[in-house]
Amino acid sequence: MSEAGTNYINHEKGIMSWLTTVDHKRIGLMYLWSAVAALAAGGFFALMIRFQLMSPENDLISKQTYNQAFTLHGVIMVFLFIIPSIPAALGNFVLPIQVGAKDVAFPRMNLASYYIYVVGSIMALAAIALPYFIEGWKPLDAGWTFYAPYSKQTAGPVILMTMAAFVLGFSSIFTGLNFIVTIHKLRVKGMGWYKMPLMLWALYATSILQVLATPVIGITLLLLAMERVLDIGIFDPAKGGDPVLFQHFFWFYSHPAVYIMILPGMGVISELISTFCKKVIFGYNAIANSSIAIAVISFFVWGHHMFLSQQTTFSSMVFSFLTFGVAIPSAIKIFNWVATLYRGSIDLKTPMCYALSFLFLFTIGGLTGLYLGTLSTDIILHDTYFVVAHFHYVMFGGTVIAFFGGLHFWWPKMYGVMYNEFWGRLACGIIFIGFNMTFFSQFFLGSTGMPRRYHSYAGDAHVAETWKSMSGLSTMGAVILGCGIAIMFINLLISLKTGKKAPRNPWGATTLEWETQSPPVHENFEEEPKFTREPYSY
Amino acid sequence: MLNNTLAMLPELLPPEASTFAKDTDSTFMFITWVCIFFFVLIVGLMTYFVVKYKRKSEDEVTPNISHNLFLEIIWSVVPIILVLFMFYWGYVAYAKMMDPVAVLGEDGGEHIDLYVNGKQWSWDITYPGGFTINSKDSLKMKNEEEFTWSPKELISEGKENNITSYMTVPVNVPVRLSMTSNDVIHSFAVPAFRIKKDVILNRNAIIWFKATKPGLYIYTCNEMCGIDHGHMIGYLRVVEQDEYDKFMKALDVPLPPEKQWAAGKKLYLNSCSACHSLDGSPRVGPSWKGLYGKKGHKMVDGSTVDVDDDYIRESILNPNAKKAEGFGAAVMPIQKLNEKQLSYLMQFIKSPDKDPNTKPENK
Ligand code: HEC
Ligand SMILES: [Cu+2]
Ligand SMILES: [Cu+2]
Repeated sequence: MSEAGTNYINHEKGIMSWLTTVDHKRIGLMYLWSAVAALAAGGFFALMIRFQLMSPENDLISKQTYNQAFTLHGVIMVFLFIIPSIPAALGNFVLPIQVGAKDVAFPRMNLASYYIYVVGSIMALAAIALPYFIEGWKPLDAGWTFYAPYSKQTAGPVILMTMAAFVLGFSSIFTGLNFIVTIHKLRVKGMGWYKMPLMLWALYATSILQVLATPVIGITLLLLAMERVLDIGIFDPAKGGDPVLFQHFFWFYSHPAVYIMILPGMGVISELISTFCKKVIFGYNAIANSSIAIAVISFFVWGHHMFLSQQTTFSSMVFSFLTFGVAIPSAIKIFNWVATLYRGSIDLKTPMCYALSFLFLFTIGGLTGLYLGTLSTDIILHDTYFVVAHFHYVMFGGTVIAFFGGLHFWWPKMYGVMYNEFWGRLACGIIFIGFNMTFFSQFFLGSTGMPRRYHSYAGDAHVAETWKSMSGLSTMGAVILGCGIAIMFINLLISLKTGKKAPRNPWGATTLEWETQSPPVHENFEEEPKFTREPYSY
Repeated sequence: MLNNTLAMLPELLPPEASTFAKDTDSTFMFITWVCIFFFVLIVGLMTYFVVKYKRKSEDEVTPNISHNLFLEIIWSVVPIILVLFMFYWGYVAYAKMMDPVAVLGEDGGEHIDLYVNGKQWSWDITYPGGFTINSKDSLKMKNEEEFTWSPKELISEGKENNITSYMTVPVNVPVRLSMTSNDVIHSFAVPAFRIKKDVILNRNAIIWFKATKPGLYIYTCNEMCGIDHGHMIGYLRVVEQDEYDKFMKALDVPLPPEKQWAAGKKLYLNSCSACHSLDGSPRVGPSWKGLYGKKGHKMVDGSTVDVDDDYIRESILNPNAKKAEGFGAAVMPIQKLNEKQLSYLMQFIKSPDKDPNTKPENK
């Protein structure tokens, strides 16, 4: 038994105790704040893009800077923020406690994964900054997708950046591997597979994707680097290579990566909705199984990014069909969450506000995917702002909102303090409004044909007015959104100083992490945890 | 009232200017209604539940509803049926656009063939006669004339050349686009026609359309292709058949003599300057400095020629017949030029430094 008052934060002191820790909770926090820093950087580039696009012929930033801004926005948000956000930050903190273990299966590997992430991030930062210091280097401008042969031709530090993504991939694989083994081996006695919290199912499905899909992007980026250095002619059509092959490889990873990003969000939402309805989750088996179904099917739909890339009509047909196949399990989850609300005892605490916001936004994100999965309508929408709006509704409206919700949910557990509810909810509302202004307007931009990645846009007489007004609205929304996020973090940070002390189980939740003290002791539980209560049994 | 509100909404789709628009847009609207239905259902229920079942006391007890087979079957099966419709309609329309042979027949039926060439950062549209229109030309025009511009007026004012600045297609005649790229991947898109396809170096992509509504429409590049990707756009015109005939004639009408040299220079800048300099420095091909009139010009095989009209003509139309010394290994691509363009170019090559028509005391 530990002394009263000690916990994982104060049981060892000093910066070295953090840098050499193998405690999953501390590693989770380090991931958390690194990811938040990445969010700030990515957000900075996002605002740059939006200010440039405020008006049609704006010249606020040069074309070169603009191309750099959208490339870095994409790379940072995808590889440095969203992918580690829920699994590596929240997941690392919560997963071992939820299974009732003292730590993950391989604590050292867990720390290694964080250091690999740091190395990858430093390489990415170098790729961003070095062009300003080294003569002859141009800023990176190939887009986060690095399509060949442009990525071969451009003067930007493509190799450094792709190697950064390559390294980051390993950190993702390490985390995935650790989670799979932890869930298999370290579950507390009595917790059968179908008695696990849904968050664990989601993280499990995610980890499988991470372990199986990430190597593919590693190989692809390696080949791209070889193409640039050695001119091997695998992707460059001038050498007899095939640029469409690059796209196949790239999306073979990057489509499952979409689910690496969204599945953990779905897990968080299952926890939030059940807890704040104080009610058993509707369709537990359906939600758990659909996580796995999504993970499996998501490997076979990559071609829906390539309907207009000169792939054969037959493959487009097959990919379109399978894409609808992955839509169904996602729809089922939404219905299950809404059904859980029925006759619940709904408490609109901040995390629940994020959960409802998620339902609203993710529904729009999912539904607008139908336009893109349908072959004929995708012809209009491919590579336009419609796609941008769609995936921001899924990635931001889905994953990031779930991440914010989860952060507010587990914050009392992480730091042992309660934040201010009023400001928490207010920030959630501002984010909701700002987000919709920013991205709903972009559906109209895209459906009328405005291409992505344009530094300036005029349009013909039919669409010019729409493009101008909707872009302006989107920029206004982005500013509001940025303010909302700032308020949210300020509120959280203030609570560290002034927040009331959090009880063990502030929300009345049922999973194991709420049975230990807040914040938990070094090895999570004061006494051997017992699995006495199934999750969601109220 | 309702109409006023609707008019305030932003445009949902581009104008419907080709035969694809109807099919594609009806599928689009079908999906839109499905989306609205499910959105209202989900968010409506959610809001209703949140209001109705808001927590009133801390020790409320909730019923244990773990699942409901009937509901679960309904909400799996209904969406499956709906998406099958989307899938089917989408596939049929897409297959039509991608496969002109199936629609136009093996021999192509009556149709027009155009060649689209994407390059960093403009589009070349080449007509069967060899005349090439560059997307940048239409941008200049659009700024000058805005949208009030009428082709008839221009013809009567003798400004035929302005007409030939726009890619132009007639209504109700199928047009087949045979598309490729000179460098990286671009994507040719005409939102008003609901067509789009990537173009790739050394590959030929074919799509087609049949325009239905006269007007001026934008076409864009939709694949990130470098610094000027955002300016790789152009404007095209859809016109009635009689105007199209005039357009085709305009492609054939020679320019007034004082504009011919300038047209030649433009052609040089567009298609030849990458390989031929004017200042004597060699690029891929020999410089044109002092070329015309040169006696005893050395060839790869050791022979010599006198550079006259015939030699230049041959060099352009049949580049490999005689190859200049020092450039034996380099290959000049065969140029798609018509007689008029050839003669403009010839005037430029004869006097690359200045327009022979401008009088010396001019300013
Ligand atoms: C891809 C590069 C390339 C382009 C583009 C190109 N050429 Fe050439 N051109 C060459 C090369 C290489 C030669 C020398 C070999 C030969 O004579 O075939 C040449 C030779 C010539 C010659 C003979 C010059 C001499 O010194 O004997 C003429 C005339 C000529 N080109 C005209 C043109 C015109 C007109 C255009 C544009 C419409 C053009 N070229 C575009 C590569 C090019
Ligand atoms: Cu995808
Ligand atoms: Cu482009």
